Formats: sequence, structure tokens, C-alpha cells
Amino acid sequence: MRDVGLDARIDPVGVTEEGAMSVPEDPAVAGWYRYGPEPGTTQGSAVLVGHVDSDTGALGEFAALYEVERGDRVEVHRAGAEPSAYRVVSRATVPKDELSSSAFRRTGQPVLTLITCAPPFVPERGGYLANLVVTARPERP
Amino acid sequence: MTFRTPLVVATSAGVCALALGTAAPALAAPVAAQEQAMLSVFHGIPGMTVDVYANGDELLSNFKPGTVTDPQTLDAGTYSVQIFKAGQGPDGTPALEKKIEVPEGANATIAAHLSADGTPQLTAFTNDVSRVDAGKARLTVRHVAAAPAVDVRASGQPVFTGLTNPNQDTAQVDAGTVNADVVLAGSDTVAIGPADLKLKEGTSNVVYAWGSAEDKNLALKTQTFSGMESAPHAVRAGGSGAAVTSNSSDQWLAWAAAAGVITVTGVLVGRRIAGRRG
Repeated sequence: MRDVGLDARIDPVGVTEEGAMSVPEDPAVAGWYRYGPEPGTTQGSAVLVGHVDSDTGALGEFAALYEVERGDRVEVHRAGAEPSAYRVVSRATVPKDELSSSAFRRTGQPVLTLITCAPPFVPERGGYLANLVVTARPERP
Repeated sequence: MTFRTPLVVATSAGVCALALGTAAPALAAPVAAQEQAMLSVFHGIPGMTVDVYANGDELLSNFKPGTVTDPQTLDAGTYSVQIFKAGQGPDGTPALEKKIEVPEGANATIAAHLSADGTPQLTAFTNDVSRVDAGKARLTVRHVAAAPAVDVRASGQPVFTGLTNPNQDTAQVDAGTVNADVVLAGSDTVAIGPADLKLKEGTSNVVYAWGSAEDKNLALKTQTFSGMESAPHAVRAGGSGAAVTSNSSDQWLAWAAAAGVITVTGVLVGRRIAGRRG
């Protein structure tokens, strides 16, 4: 009975002035990309993002994504709705500037996309240089 | 036209957003096939219900002022567009007539409207349905009213200035609801509005300022095109680098007033975890 121990509150987020996805400052909180699909909807990629760690050195909730494996269960709870359950189908590390826009697609097969930052960590180049992207598909009852 | 408001963040295409797409979904392209185009029609002549004909075929009947059709697919080409008072076509004398070229792949709107001095006319506009940056919407204003030059303001700040009939001006703005009004150029004299414009992210919104100042029936009509969204061009979700080396065991508190909660578990039944990482 393995548990990767990711358990985070979700706040809606948008984009920064530079056009990047906003990420909640609190590394304990996940951000949902509010311009895209909601978790539990039938089309497109619902994106949740979380800091891997904070500037103060605390480890973020999404650091647990490093331990996620194919088949792990992801559950998203929302007020006034049944929980949405997903199973992890892939985990990939991509250079930050190669994050595919398809992670944010608004149509097509429904998926939950979880994103955080990943090594290499190069402070003089702004910190982490890659994104860890975990994709999960809805669990069929 | 000049932009001089913080609302207008990006006036040209988002270079970052465009550079990113490795697998951009081909959904924004509203044109179904080659050699075709999208056409919609706006009726902005007060007090006249009309029928619209294209190359002798009835396109629209009993078309009322202040309405705009959904875009229709049609073959690219040159069309003879005729506007008749309802029931008088196609053999009578059209109220308005114009040859309009619709190029392949175009997205156009034909506007039947009043000129600045109140004469009915037809104008073809090209709709910009290119992508907008993440978090943005496109706002276009078309001056098709019998009225002098105007400024368009959002929350009291000019977005477009010195706009004249039959011209348009466009900008990318932050998505959201803006309180807009139209004033006589260079003045605070409100000609139309204020009105709330809901600018949904990833959409292109065309606002027609139409009617007649003299007849006191100036109004706004909005036409919205969707599917122009872009993905954010990065996700910066790291801080100190602690996750690279350490096994911090911070305890997070229980959350209140949450929009939602996510849990990831390796077991069949999701359960909430108290002391994770140890």
C-alpha cells in the first residue's frame, strides 16, 4: 500500500504578466489553470501546478510527484461535486522551454496534467531548468 | 489610433506563446476546408428589416437591426451582396448593393450600416481570429454609426482614440469583464454606454458601435469568436532547490475554504494522509 503523500489544496490561477502560468506562492497549495478545463470535465487537459519547493527552502507538496508511478490514483475533490478519480499514465521530464502546449489543450481526451519543476537546478539560470509533467486519465468505474 | 492604457498589455502577437507550440491543436482554424471562407453578416441600419441575397440566392430573411449572424462556411470568391427591404427581393431594387471579395481562408463580416453622415452602406471587415496570448482576449471596436470620431474607454481609460466610421481598432487585453463606454473623441461626453463587456480568455470580441447620434439610437452589439487561446509559455514552479537534495519533513496544516483538494495515492481507495514524508 504505497502512498506518495501528495495532498494539497487547490486554488484557481491564471497567468503572470510575462505570460507564464501563475503558481501559488505557498508550496503547500496547488494551482488550477482556470482558463482551461476543470478537473472532472469530459474534454481537454485540466492542469494543476505546484511548487516543488519554496524560496525559503521548504519542500512543496508537488515534490511528491517525483515518486509517482504509472497506475497511481489521483483524486480531485471539489465543492459541490463528486470527487474525480484519475490513474497516472505517464511521467515525463521536459526542458522548461519545451513544455508542450498540448498540456493545456481544451478539447480532446480528458486528462489531468500535474506540473512542477524538476532538476537540473542552476541558480544562475533562474533555478530549475525542467518541468516534471504527470499525466493521468479518468478512472473508469 | 494609439493605445495608451495599461489595459493594453500586448499589441502584437505573443512571440513566446507562438514559439512554444510543438503540438498545437488545430482547433483555432475555423475554416472547414480549403477554398472556403467564413462569413457573418451584421445589420446596423436602424428601423429597417431586410433580406440579404448573395449572387441572387437568399442568404438571410427578415434580418433585424442590431443582429449579427453566426459565421457560415461558404466558398471563397466574389459575391454580389444585395440588401432588400424584407420581401422585396430579389427582383426589386436593392436598398444596398456591393461586390465583396471573400478570399480563401478568410473570416469576414459584412456590415450593413450607416455612414458617418447617415447614409446606408455596406462594409466588409476581416475578423482577426489569430491566437491571443494566454490570459488575454482580443477586443476590436468597429465604428459603424452615424456619429463623429469617438474614443472607446474601459473603466474610464481610453483604449482606442479617434476612431472614425467605417474603421476598426483592435488590441489584446486582459481577459475578464470590462466596463466600457464610447465618448466623442477627445471629450468626456458619453455617446454610448457604459456597458459591461465580458471578454472571455482566448476569444476575439468584435464590438459594433452602430445607430445614429441624431436619432439618439446609438448602441453596441458584440460578436464573439472563440478558440484563439494559447498555452502559457512556461510553468515556473521551483524555488530554492531544496527538492534536489533534502528530505524536508515539513508538516502542512489543514486547509480551510479550499476551492478543491488533490490527493495522489498508490492505493485503490484514496485516503487522506496526516503525516507524509517522514
